[in-house]
Amino acid sequence: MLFQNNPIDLTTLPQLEDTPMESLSPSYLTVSYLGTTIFFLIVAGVLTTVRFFAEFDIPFWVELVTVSVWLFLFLFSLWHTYMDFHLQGFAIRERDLTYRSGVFFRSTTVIPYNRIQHAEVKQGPIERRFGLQRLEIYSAGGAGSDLDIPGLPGSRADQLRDYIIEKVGKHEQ
Amino acid sequence: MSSSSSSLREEARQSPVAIIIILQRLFVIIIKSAWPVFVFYFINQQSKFEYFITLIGIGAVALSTVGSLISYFTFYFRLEETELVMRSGLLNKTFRTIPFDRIQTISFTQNIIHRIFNVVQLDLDTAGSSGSELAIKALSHSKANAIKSFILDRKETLPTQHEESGMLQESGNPLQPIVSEKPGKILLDLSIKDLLKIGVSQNHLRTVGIMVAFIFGLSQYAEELLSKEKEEEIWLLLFGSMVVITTLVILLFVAAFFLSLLNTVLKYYNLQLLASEKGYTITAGLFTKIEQSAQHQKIQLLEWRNNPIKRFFGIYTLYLKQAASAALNRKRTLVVPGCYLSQIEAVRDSYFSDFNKADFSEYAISPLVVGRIVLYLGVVPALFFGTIYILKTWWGLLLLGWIPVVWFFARIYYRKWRYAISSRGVYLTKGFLGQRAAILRWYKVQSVKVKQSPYQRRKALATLEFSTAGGNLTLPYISLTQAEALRDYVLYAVERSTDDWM
Repeated sequence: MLFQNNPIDLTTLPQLEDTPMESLSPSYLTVSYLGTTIFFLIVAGVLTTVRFFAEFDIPFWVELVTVSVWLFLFLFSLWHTYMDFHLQGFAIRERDLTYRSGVFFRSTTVIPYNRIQHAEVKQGPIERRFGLQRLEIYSAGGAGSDLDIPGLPGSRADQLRDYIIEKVGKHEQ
Repeated sequence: MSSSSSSLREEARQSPVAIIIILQRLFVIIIKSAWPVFVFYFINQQSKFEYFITLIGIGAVALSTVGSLISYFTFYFRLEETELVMRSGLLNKTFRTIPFDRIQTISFTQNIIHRIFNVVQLDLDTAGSSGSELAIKALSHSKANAIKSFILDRKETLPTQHEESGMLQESGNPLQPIVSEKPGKILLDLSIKDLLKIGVSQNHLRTVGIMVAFIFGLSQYAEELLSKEKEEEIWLLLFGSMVVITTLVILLFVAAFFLSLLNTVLKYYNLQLLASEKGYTITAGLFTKIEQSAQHQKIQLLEWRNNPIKRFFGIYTLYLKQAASAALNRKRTLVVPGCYLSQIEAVRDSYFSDFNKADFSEYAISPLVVGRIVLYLGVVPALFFGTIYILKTWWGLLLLGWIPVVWFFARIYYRKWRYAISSRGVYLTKGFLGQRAAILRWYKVQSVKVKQSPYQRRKALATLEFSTAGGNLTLPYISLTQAEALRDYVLYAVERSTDDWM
């Protein structure tokens, strides 16, 4: 019904939905929690400074609302971080690479190996401490179609990059 | 030519005319980014701004003059046996070598200043990422020609060589084409009548911007008056200013109309679209002649669109989207205004060989999109602004009338959205006042993305996005099963394909 003039039997095509997704390293969740907490502590610090150095009176209800909003957003962000971690995943197939992400707005991006321009492994200072790396995959399709897979344990990221580069090289021969 | 070729090996500067050209370019940039300031200034001429404006003006002129002088005196280039070497910059020095075999096109362009001084700008376009092309801003004809032949002599094939020769003959200063090749077939030669049609149907959005600034200024003026004058006189003034405002608005519309008409004539005068075996070349312009080309294999997807006025004339604007890095995207898209359907079909057939509508199966998007558009563009803004106004006056209720208007247009949008799939590509048509269409071959696809909002997840819908090196093509609000089946198929097609996407 989908492609009437197509001689190929669509049911025989490999289906991405059947592919199991690999999840990110659990220490990436720790790093994310840490980042969220630090951010909210900074916000709390700024708010407290304003509270004590303000030259005008702040009504009690304003303080109450501010603290509740801060608490709500903090808990929400922690929940979001948790969900985000568990919904992210990637899959390596013979001919393409898939990355899934998003809590509310979910997206699944697939880049075939024969369209990859180059692959890069990156590591920030915090990531280094936790032994994590991120894998960046670039295609010619512009910024929106590049993949950025965070939270890979060191060896895994290098392994993936080498695998992908080998696949890309094979295609070019 | 041999006598000059030895001189080409020596390091040289551009023609001194380059100083004027750089200066002019800087002014254009300044005016383009700062025109709202000027408009604002002319509307409310308050003395407190005058000082700043003058200061900024003098500063800008001084800085641009110094900048263009530095830019001229620090730019050197020379030719070696296999490459062009260039260095520039005073503090940030740049050295660059451009190997001849990387050079894709050598083109000459002239704007009005070039014409006055009888010089040309030489553009060397290379394959690769951004910042890899070189423009020598002013050179005498003979020198530019010598450089061109020097490079061509050392480079066996130059893909778009014949296209340049077509352009040069037009530029008023005929030069001898170095390699005689037959010029491409003229696909489109814009007549004066069609040129005027394009001008009339231009998007007059710029008018709106100027008008808003203008009305803003007037309202401030009115407020000042209101605070000064007595009650009885206000009504007279109000009536008087109403007449003035109406007249001004009409005058502005007329002026803006003629301005964009003039702009169109300057930009698209004598527009020609040439088709050759290698690709397309477009040349246009009354004073500033622009030449742009696109090779067949670099074209990633085609788009064409019109607006209600263009639709009345039966013309479209065609976009040939070429592979380029993100920074260059705008520049790389070949825009062909004033195309008739027959010309679009000719370009389409060369991009999508043996295009046949019967090979495609056509689909609509989900009707649920209407509800979403009404919610986000109709109900939410109407309620938001409605509640703000209702606190002041019951007239706020009138804003609810916005909702059926949005519903009406959302219906049209939904009804017109069609996409057609074949084993080789996708073809889509949409639009609500005008028409838009796009066509994409599967092997041009770089990556495939399936996106779902919370609402789409509840309704088992998805948005499917194909990225290419020339831009994206999106199918919104299609069923999830359709999106997944299509994704799996396109991946299969891309991964199996042996055609080079570029």
